[in-house]
Amino acid sequence: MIKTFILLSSLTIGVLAGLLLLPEFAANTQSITYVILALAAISLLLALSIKPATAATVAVDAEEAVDEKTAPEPARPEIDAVPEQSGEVQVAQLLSLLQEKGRFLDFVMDDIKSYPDAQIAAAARFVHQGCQAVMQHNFKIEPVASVSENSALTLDADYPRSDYRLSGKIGTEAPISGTLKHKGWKTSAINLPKVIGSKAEAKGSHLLAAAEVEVR
Amino acid sequence: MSQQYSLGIDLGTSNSALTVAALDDGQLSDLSILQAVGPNTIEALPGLPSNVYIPAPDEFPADAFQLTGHAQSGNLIVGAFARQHGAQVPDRLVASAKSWLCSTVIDHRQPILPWQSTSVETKLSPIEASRLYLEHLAYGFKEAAKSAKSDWSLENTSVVLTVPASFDEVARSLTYEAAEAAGLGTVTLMEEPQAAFYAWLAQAGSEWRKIVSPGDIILVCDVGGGTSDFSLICVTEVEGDLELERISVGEHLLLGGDNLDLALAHVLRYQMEAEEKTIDDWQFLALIHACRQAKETLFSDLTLSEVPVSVPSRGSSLFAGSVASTLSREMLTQIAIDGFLPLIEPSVMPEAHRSAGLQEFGLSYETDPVLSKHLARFLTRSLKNVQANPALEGKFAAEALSGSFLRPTAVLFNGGFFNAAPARERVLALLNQWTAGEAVRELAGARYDKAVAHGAAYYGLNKLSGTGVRVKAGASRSYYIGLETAGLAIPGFKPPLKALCVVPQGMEEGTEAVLESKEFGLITGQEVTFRFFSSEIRSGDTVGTILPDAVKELEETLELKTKLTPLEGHASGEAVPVKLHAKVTEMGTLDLWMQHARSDHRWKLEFTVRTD
Repeated sequence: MIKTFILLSSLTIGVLAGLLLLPEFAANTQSITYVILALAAISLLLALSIKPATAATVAVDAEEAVDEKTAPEPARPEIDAVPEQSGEVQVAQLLSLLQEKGRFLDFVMDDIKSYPDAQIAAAARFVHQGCQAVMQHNFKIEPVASVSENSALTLDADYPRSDYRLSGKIGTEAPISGTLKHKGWKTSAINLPKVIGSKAEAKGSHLLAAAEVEVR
Repeated sequence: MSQQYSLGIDLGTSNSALTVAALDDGQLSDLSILQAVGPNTIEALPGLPSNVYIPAPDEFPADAFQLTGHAQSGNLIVGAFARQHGAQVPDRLVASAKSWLCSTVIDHRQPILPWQSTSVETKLSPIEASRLYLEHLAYGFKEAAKSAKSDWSLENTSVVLTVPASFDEVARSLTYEAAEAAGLGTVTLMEEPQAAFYAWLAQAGSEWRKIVSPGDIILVCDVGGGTSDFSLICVTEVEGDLELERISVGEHLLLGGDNLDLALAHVLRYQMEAEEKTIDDWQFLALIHACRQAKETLFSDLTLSEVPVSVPSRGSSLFAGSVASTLSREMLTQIAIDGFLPLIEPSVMPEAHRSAGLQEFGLSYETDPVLSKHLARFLTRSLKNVQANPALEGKFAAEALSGSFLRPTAVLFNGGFFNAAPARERVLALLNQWTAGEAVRELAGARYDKAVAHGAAYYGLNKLSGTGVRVKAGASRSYYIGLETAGLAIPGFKPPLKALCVVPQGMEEGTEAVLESKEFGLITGQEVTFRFFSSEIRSGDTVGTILPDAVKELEETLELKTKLTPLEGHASGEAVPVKLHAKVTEMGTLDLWMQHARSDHRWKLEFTVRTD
């Protein structure tokens, strides 16, 4: 199921990136880029949740550089008074959080073809603000590489293999020097709301956003 | 168990916060508070919204809000979800319970909240609502200790709870009582602006002696979400050492940053409607939220000239129904700075209350939203207060007292409103325009959102260790008891009620005042009425001072109907000779005793006597 989500969001990223190339979307490059970034981050997280072991391996030097810059957040205690959370329940929590704060599901499930850019931009701003808030409050998102993109980067022989993906002429000689094309993303903490009661063991079917009824 | 920690509780009108401090290393830590963020969903958040939502029976599944280890959970929802959901169901949302505690028009024990709700089956009293917040904070503290793997507990922690400086004795006692009922035990009460000042002291360390000097008058200017609170602290030199004393407190002002967000949302709604975009009530709530964020963005990045504001659709079709507009810096400045903080003359006072003959009964929100005027009124009244007492007056340089208001020399800002640098700059500009002398400076480095809880925890720590700087405070105002005049009855004429001062302003915690020189007749055995009054501008009155007309010169705090047990051998209705004893407890509450002049018997008058 998680793989399906990753697949779907990768597809969406592809489509949106395609849109960037079309001249009629030139005015909205920024909003679309935001959405791409949000989707990329989510795909990354979902990917991390499949293989939790990879999440632990981070580039040592990169992490140190980042730690100096970001002030420690106030302690967000791990929750004790709750039952064990399954990965599936937590993924549903993330989606429902993104929907609640940033109307994420409404955004990707809506039919984008039939609306003018101005309307899409209005919605995108809101989605961006909300999804960004979730990324800031519930995760500690940091770039993998601390140098700026398109500048030179040297990887030592023992660089963390999973944190960097190489392209171009890949040789065997260390150190490897190249140009950083994408700085990558990682999170050093995940703190999602926790589910209590019978719903903590839910499998397969999950509520992501309740239907809303205004009582007359 | 010995006390090793101090817990500072900022019980706010709209948001509450916790800070814990350890005695061994003096470290202050902000605590996250576990709370319901949705049905069956909990999260530890940095603060607790001070709201209770009273769900309809069966509105949610039975276990949706069953928090493990939380005594009261289940039927009532406290915190983030209560606020978020309740915004759309206002009839079931309890808000501003704290301001109701100091309202004089209601009985604080009557279940009246949510105010004017027609759908809630069992309402809450303001004191119950406060108890629920405090119970939840106690639960949050317990859970935070577990997750931090610390041994903090209510048994080894002394609790300091903050109240507005503008709270009178009744509101203080009610808060104290709510804390006791919430299982917090014996708490120490402290005024919020003072707590903010302590936080500044904690952060300045020993440097503070270099930053302030004798003769300084520090204005603590606290503008939160729903209320504003002012205090003045003066710095004097006593035997070569600096002494700090809180010399004046303001009135309870129901005016704050929320008023600003609301004003911005209204303006943007007009702007949208002018462009023929309409928004519904649900979207208006989203617009208020969006305006708050846009305001924060504009105030934190001064290079931006405008910020887009978009309001999402109510339904799932986001592209079809979202509405966008922009908040320009010009408009923000016009409303937030020129509207709320105009550069007026110090003689301009807030417009008097309501002009309509018939008013809706409720919380007395300020009708004049101009903060500058409220500040002018506070400083004018502060001067009056200082001039009422020669001993107090002697502490100031003649220059400080020369105008029509008391001139502050420095300002300490507090409250979320002052996260905005332009708001701080404007207040400084205003004060500089008024004082027209040496520049009024800002005591820098305050953390406007966190200072109150920090300062409370730091103060608690000082109390435990018996070290550290202390701000002399004592009673924030003087208290009086109504005295019936002995004399001939004149038909058609009711003599004015006299007032007898029982607690002078500044009476320190842990001290007792006895009026030895005078005996009064106390009626026992039948129901009698005691009327209590207070004033924040009569620093010169001492125990025993009698004012000829209570109603004209003072504010009525409480009217109390009670029946005191008669002494053995005395008939009901007989006047018993008594002397008055007043005590300000270490916890910051007031006890009043009537001591029988001929025996050891005494009657305690509870400021918060039950009405049943």
